[in-house]
Amino acid sequence: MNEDNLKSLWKNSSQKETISFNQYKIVSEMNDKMIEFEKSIKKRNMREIIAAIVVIIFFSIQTIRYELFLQKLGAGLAVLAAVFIIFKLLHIQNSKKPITLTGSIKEQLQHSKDYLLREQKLLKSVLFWYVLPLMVPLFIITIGSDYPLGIQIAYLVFILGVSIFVYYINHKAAKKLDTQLLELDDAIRGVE
Amino acid sequence: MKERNDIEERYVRILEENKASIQRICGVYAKNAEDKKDLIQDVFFQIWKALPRFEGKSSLATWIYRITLNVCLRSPYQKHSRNKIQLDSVVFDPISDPPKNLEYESLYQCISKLPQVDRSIIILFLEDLPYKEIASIVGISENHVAVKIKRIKTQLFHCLKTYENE
Repeated sequence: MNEDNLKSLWKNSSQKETISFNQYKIVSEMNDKMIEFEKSIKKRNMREIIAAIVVIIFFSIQTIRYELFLQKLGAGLAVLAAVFIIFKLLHIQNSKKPITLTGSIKEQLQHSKDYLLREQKLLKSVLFWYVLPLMVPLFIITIGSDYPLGIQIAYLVFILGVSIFVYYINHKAAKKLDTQLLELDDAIRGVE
Repeated sequence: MKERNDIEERYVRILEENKASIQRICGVYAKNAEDKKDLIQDVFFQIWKALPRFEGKSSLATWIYRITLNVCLRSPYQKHSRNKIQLDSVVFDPISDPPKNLEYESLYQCISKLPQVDRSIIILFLEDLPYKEIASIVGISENHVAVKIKRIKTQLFHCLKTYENE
């Protein structure tokens, strides 16, 4: 087989399946998908903010309702933690660079690597920006309550268990990205 | 309004003229038939998104190849953030009596075995793009492209020969 045979074999390889489209329908469908796409981004950002606002409102009310000092302090810290998490999430969303699919392959691979590295860093640091800021206030609220010691210990074990679980699944997800990062490094080396 | 109509007409023309190349490229990077359909539809959507910003700095064909390859290459790394694009207006029809050619299968198998970037380079070569255009799409020098193509071709012919002998 020579080079020309190879090219002709390649070019004829798409003849196993045909793609057809309705030219009027596809344009209106693309317009709909664009609107849907923009809506989904707005919705995702809103969902995270709404969840944090619910936490803020809940613990703000608790700050007033609680009578004991440590519980008031814990609820106040939970409000601050929720505000901190909102800012962190908004900062992450705003710092994401738009994907440049019209750029070169080299740029695209570097972009994918940067994206995965950012995701990995975020997952690995979840202890500091998500787990601890929520776990500490909940610990303080529990310790500061007038519940019997047994119930307090049960609550503390539960909070600790959930925190360890959240930390563990995030670290596991971060580790999974190692293989993809290695693949990307290989691919980037291929264009250097 | 007229500008909008121009873009819409242009878009339909682009898809009509390039759907076969898009189909071939996605076939190399897809894991299975369903994945191939997803990739093709994603490419169609990305072309629509980017078309109003096309400035004509490169040829339209080069621009389409860039988008297609970039969509295929980023796909394994965007699992969480990629929205699947399902288009009702696009129909995939298998040909009832496709040409039975083991050489097609061997060619796809051999290309799929190559490293990601080498795969893109040989695809662009098989699509008959000049070295200059391949260099601009990949982001390396023309000389580098020439060296790589020579090496990849040797690998590809060797692989195809192995399949022929089997």
